[in-house]
Amino acid sequence: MITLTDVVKKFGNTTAVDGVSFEVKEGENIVLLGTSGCGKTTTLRMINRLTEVTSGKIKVAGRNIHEIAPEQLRRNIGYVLQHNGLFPHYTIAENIAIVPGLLKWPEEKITNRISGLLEQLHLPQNILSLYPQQLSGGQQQRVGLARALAADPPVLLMDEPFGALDAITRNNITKEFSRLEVLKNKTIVLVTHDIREAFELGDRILLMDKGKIVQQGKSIELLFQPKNQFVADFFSAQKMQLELHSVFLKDIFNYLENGNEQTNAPLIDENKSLWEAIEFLQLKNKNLLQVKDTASGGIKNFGYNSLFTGLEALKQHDHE
Amino acid sequence: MNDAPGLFDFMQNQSGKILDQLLQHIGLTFISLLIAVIIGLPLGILIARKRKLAAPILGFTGILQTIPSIALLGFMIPLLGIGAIPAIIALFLYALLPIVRNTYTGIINVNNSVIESAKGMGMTNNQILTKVELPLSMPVILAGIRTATVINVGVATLASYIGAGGLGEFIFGGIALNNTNMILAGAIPAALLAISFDFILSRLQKINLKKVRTALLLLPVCLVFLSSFYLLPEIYRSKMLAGFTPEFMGRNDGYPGLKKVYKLNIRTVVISDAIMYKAAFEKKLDVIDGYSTDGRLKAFKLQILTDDKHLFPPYYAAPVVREEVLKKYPGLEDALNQLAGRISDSVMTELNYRVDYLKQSPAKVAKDFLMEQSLYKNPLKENDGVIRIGSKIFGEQYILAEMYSMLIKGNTHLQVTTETGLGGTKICFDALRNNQIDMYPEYTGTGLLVILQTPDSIVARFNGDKEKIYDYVRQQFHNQYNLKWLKPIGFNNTYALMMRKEEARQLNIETISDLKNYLSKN
Repeated sequence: MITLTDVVKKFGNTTAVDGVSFEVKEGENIVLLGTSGCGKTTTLRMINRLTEVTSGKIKVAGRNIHEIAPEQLRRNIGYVLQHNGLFPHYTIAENIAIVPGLLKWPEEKITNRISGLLEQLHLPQNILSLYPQQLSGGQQQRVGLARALAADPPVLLMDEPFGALDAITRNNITKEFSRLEVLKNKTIVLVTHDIREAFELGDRILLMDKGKIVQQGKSIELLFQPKNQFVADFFSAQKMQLELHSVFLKDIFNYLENGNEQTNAPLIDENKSLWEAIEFLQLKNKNLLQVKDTASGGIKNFGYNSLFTGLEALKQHDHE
Repeated sequence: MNDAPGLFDFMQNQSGKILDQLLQHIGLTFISLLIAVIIGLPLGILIARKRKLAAPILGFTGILQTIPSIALLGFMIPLLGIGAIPAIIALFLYALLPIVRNTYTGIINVNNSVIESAKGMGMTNNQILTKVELPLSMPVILAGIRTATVINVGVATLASYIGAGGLGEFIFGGIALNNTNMILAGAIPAALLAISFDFILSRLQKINLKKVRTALLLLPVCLVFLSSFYLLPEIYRSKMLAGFTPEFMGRNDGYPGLKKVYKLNIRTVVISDAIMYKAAFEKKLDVIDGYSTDGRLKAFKLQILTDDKHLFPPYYAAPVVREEVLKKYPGLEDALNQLAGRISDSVMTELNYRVDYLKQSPAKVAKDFLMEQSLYKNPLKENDGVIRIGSKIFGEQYILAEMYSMLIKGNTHLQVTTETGLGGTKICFDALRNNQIDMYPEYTGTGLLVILQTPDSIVARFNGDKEKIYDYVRQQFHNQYNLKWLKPIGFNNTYALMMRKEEARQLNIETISDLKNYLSKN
């Protein structure tokens, strides 16, 4: 859906993006992760030509973007910014209707689309006649998302979309976001410096540093098979938490000890992460849970100890 | 406030004139504002787009703003003559800075993430300008237009100096004529005008952002409507055009006297005496009032029309001094009287010519004259008090003030300071009465009519006799104000009507009666 080939961007003498190439498949969510100044935002802005490339090639939906007028290109790519960028002099309805308006949709189609979007994004219908500054930060961000999705673009670019929100709101909205039906079939490129956000939302993560992609892959690959010291260091501060979030019970099923069958232990889904298993243990105030492996049909019991032993065994195995 | 009933009567009597002037004033203000908006808004947008141009353009409009308004109007005369066009252009230049600067500031201060998102959604540059930048910067732009409006209402009063009309006619006429009611009749409507426009625009600024688009359309319509006011009084016209100073327009021995004694009826504009002669020379005006000793008469080839019905009383110049000062410094009176009877009409005209036209400094002209008359002495050591000499704002008075200064320094041990350029009669006389200056040269006719406001019945009794008028004025000044008229200097600087020599000869006009007959025939 999106292909970047040897893309370079220079501002004067400094090279912001230094030969970046990657591909995003249709429906895939990728995250450009890195510290500020690593070139991730510049990379994103080159995709909708808010920044022009110095050299290299970018294709969206098979077409070279330099052959499309920037305005036309942008109307078919949703764009969400950190500071939502809502027009303060437009009502919520008018804000969401901007791109459909530019594309000259009929009035009725726009109205229907807006109310449908509000529902899917869990926003009340009565905000339509309000102005952005009358909404909370979280609501504003959702409206920003609704506006980006208004014309149903196949591609969505998001630049630190939750960066301006407080930690709690951000956590909730991130979780909700990953489950949103409207985003299911979208090709999304998201820029963030927040590792947890990246792990939660990205099918694939591209870790950038000094204008280059250092490593790309699934979150668990970056975590357990860091390509170099930079990647290892990048995740080290939150390593334990990240591991528990990104490893699932089915991944460690084979490493769990056998025996101690206890039929009265509560059953947990094998697709839950280790973090969720620990939460579940605490919630039920139990020492043991049981999990069923769909592949083999086997059932195993586990407690805190066996969980961590299993994780260690998995990591050992991955290293070899 | 014993002026209050008088003011009310005055305004009632002059209501037609006030309305005319008010409409002219509104017209001048808004025509220039309209042009300033039409040019300033795009200019502001341009420099917001091309930031490199911002500094030079804002700098240039800023410099325009610092030019004193009366000077700017003066610069316009050679280029554009007199009347509405130069006035409107000057006002336009003053209105430009606030409009350009606020448009620029408003646009560059629009939140960047809003602009980014507009771009990111695929809006074109024009759409971003009209749908995002202009609506969001509208309150700031309106604030600029508001500032420009208030500036223009104020500066438009000066338009009367170059014959463009407006409320300045009453204000400057009143100052020249020592007529408080007349000043207020111009100043109060002008102030109310500024306050009400400011208020209306402040409302406009506060209305809902949503309705800004309507306001944007409404504004030019209002501006055009208000601008059209200026054209209303322009309907009546006559063949010749007279330019009279604000003072002449109001004095009994000025235009009202001409109407009464000669039944003269001519289309008039009010104009400052500083530019009147030049305007007549350049055929922008046909008839002007002036002073018989003015040096520019010669320079601009003008001819005085004979006052065949003796409307203008004699105006013999003499120093008016505070009696207190004369008592305190006994040598002073003798020093000042050395000039008595020394300067004839033709000599004064020559001296004025050297200052007004040859641009020699009044001090040099004064010194040359005193040397020639063997009156000049080197300054003595200054160890006594200070004498403050005032003068009105024209060449002749500057020369006289310099002469008196030299005479005092040469003959007494007093120090001298000069307060030259104190505007018209009222300002000079008030300064003298309030002990801001000690003396200034005045003219008997002015003392009689402007300061003492002597009723017609008494004036008639003098029958234009210069001695009788001098005695009457000297007596009254002593009784009423404790001011002493010293001996007359000799020349008679009377009012006069003048025309270009050439035109007067062609039309065979020599006297004011001839002019009257010519006008009523054509």
